[in-house]
Parts: sequence; C-alpha cells; structure tokens
Amino acid sequence: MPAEKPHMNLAIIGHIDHGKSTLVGRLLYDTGVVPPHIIEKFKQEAKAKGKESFVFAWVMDSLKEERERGITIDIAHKKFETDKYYFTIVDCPGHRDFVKNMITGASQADAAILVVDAKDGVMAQTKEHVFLARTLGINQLIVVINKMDTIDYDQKRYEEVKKDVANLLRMVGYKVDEIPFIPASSWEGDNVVNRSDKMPWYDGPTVVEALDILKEPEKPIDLPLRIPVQDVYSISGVGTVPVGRVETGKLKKGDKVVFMPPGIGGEVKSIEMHHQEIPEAIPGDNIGFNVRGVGKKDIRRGDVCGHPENPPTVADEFTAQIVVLQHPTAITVGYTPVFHCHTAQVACTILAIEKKLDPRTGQVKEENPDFIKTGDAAVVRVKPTRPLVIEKVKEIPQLGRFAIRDMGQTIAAGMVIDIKEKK
Amino acid sequence: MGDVAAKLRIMPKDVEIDLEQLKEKISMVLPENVKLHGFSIEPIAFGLSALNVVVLVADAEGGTEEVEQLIEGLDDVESVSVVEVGRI
Repeated sequence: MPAEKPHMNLAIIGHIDHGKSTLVGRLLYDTGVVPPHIIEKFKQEAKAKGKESFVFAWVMDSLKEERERGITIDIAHKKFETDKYYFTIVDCPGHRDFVKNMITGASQADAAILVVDAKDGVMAQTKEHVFLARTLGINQLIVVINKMDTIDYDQKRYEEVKKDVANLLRMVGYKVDEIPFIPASSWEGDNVVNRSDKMPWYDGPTVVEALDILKEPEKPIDLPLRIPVQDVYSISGVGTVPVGRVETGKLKKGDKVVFMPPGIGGEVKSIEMHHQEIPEAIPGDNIGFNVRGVGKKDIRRGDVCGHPENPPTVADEFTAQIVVLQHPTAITVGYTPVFHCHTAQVACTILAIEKKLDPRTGQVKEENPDFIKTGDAAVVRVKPTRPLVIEKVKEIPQLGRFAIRDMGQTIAAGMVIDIKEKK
Repeated sequence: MGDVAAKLRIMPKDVEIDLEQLKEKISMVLPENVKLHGFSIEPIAFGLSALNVVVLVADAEGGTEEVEQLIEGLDDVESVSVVEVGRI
C-alpha cells in the first residue's frame, strides 16, 4: 500500500480581480476534482448554444452554488491533490477585518500562491498580502503572473512584472531565488495544470509542478510545549480543567506543567479529547486537561501552559515588525491599542517607532519617524500594559504573531522579532 | 464582494448548559445580513462540549466582529472564537 501523501494548507492571495477564484477553479477543473456530471451538463448546454468556450465559466458558477448549498458545518474548503501532496485551499477573504481571524484561527497556511495580473502588475493589495503572508509565517511562496492571454503572452511585460514582484518579496525577507515565477492564464488553462504551447520562451514549472516541489512543512510537535488557555472550568468530581488547542509540542499525562504569566505549576492528572481519555496530546488537538495544584481562579484565558524546564516567555517589552492595514489618522508613540495574540487580548503601548521601511526598495526609509500610517511597514518597540506571553516568531511562530485592533477594526498585523523578558 | 464562511467555536459557561437551547438563542440574535448555516456539537472533555456554528457573512468591513459580540453577549456563553474562515 502506498504511504499516505502529506497534507498542506494552501492560501491563495493577491489583489482583487487578479484572478484568484479563476485560478482555484482551474486547479480544481484540470486536476479532475469537479464532478463529471457537472462538466458534462455544461458541455452539452454549451454545444447546443455553440458556446463551447463558456463551459469553464459555467462550471465555476455552478460550483459556487453547490458550495453555498452544501456547506454545513465544515467550511467549504476546496481540496485537490498532486503527485506528492493533498492540498486544502484557504481562499483568504479580501477585507482587512478578517486578518485577525487568519492570525488567531486554526487553519494556518503552509504555503501560498500569490496571483498578480500581468497587465496591472503590483497593486496595493499585492503589497499588503505579501506583508501579511510574511507576518502570518507563510515561508513558501509561488508567484503566478496571471492573465498572460490579455497581453498576448508577451515575455517582455512578464519580465517587467516579475522584476517588480521580486523586489517586493525581497524587501519583506523572502529568498527570491527559491520562489518559482510562472506566466499563466487561469482562464485559458495555460501553465496551471497543463503546459502551455503559447509561451515557448518559458521553461520553468507549471503551477502544479511548482506545488510538488514545495517542502513538507515542519511539524510543530518538535517545538517546546505551548497551550494557550481558551477557558478554565471547575468540573465537579474532576477539578480544575483548562481547555485549549495544543499549538506546539506534546503534553503527556503525568507531566509537570506551568502556566504563565501567573507562574503557577501543577501536575497533569488526565487529558481528554472528544470525551475520551488520551495519554498524550499533540498540535491541533482541542483538549481539556485536569491539573492538580492549580485552582480555577489561578489561571485565565490568555495564559499559556508549558513545561517548567522551557516555560512560556513573558514579555516586559518586545520589538516587532508591523504593517499598518488601516488607520484613520496616524500611529504615534504612546498609542495603546489592543493586541490579539493566541487567546490573549492585552492593551499594549507603542514605546518607540524605530524605523519605517520603504515598500519599494526594502531599505529603511526613515529612522525614528514621528508617525506611521496606512500602508506603512515599521519596526516598533512595544510594552504590554499587563503581563503577556508572546514568543519570537523565529522560535515559536504560532505564538509570535498578532493582530492590532482599535475602534472595532483590525488596524495592523505584526510579528515579534525580539523580546525583553520580564524578570 | 462574495461571502465568507466562518466557523465559530462557542464554549458554554459550564457543563450544565443546554446546548440545544443555546442553539435557539443564537439563531434569535443573529442579524438579518448574517446567514446561519449550521450547528454541530463537538465533545471536548469531562462532559464539556463546544457548540460550533457556521455563518455566512459578507467579505466586507466588520468581518465576524458583530456576530462574535452578539453571541458573546448571551448569558450562557463563556467564550467565542473564530476557528476557520474562508471565501466560498
């Protein structure tokens, strides 16, 4: 029996109308995921009307309707497979107010396809999504220069757009040499699943070939144990039961654990998932666990459970790279919005704006600027108003990302570069 | 600009809360522009279960904020977290 293929979550990002949905549709259509009865139905209809080229468009519409009807409790994630992997597509909402969900949600993307329109080139949302992908810890990227049919498959224009995108990616810290750039037309089906005969000048991979050369994501099980506490219950006959999702590491029955920031420790008497007792919990598991020596009032939502020999880090101050998504005026030193990180929500003060970065060149645009505004990327120093567990994104990425919210809006997203620990 | 499906995990105040009743209360508070898609009960631990609800919201300003706040406002609810979002 062949070994099971590894699974990957794939995010589709890019500017509005650059063809994200069409690319998704094409991937599903050409990899054979679309049910044959749907294709057949439209093929006949198209033939009768003499509009064969409309089949793909009709299939796309019909799929959307099916999804609307069909989704019940599992989100309508679209799945397909290549030779090497099973993929689940995370079709990212366009509006910025969903960024908080992408950061604190469960389905982190392992890789992303950035879609750029060959005619338009790099646009505002292209930049924003590239920043976000980096902030969300998506280290593997594939760039699709889409709609090549609208520019007559022109190599010169493709090279121009490729250069602009490469500059943008280099600036946020991607290793551009490792990223495939693919000229494609999702609409016509060029270089997505099937190799195009219209661009003889291109000898790189198709989108599906590029997906197969992605590296298997690192397993968070090898990192130190971190379980952000979602809620704490006192259950009669059992005792104190914190509930949460294991983000990294492994929790075993009998383990000594510590909850930070309070610094209260205890011993794990039992772990349950789906109402079954389990000997150990691994990343992704939603568990409740009973801890001897910890009272319900000792811990609360936003605390993080770890092992005493490698306890969760409590920050006195931290340095972060942020991107401002939307702010009505400007962000200055002293500003104290709410930071959403794992299950914690803590007001934090911007102590210093150390640098503003230029989205075009990647250079530091300004040292110690007076303010930053919508669209700016910056390095800032931050002080939580009460103790907060947060980790360097390089060490434990799952706990190193945050969304900043104020006035009911997600105003920025960021990642932690460095931490001054609270003693 | 299309719809976003969001899956919210709702934790009850305690083990005793009747999740069937909670479903009804949630259906009542959802505003008109939010489409309720379905519920499921996810057993967690020691008799405690989460109520998962999938809603469809517009891919627009506000995101899932209003729904989260309305459900969080119910007496029986301890916490609400959005566990998945995706365009449909």
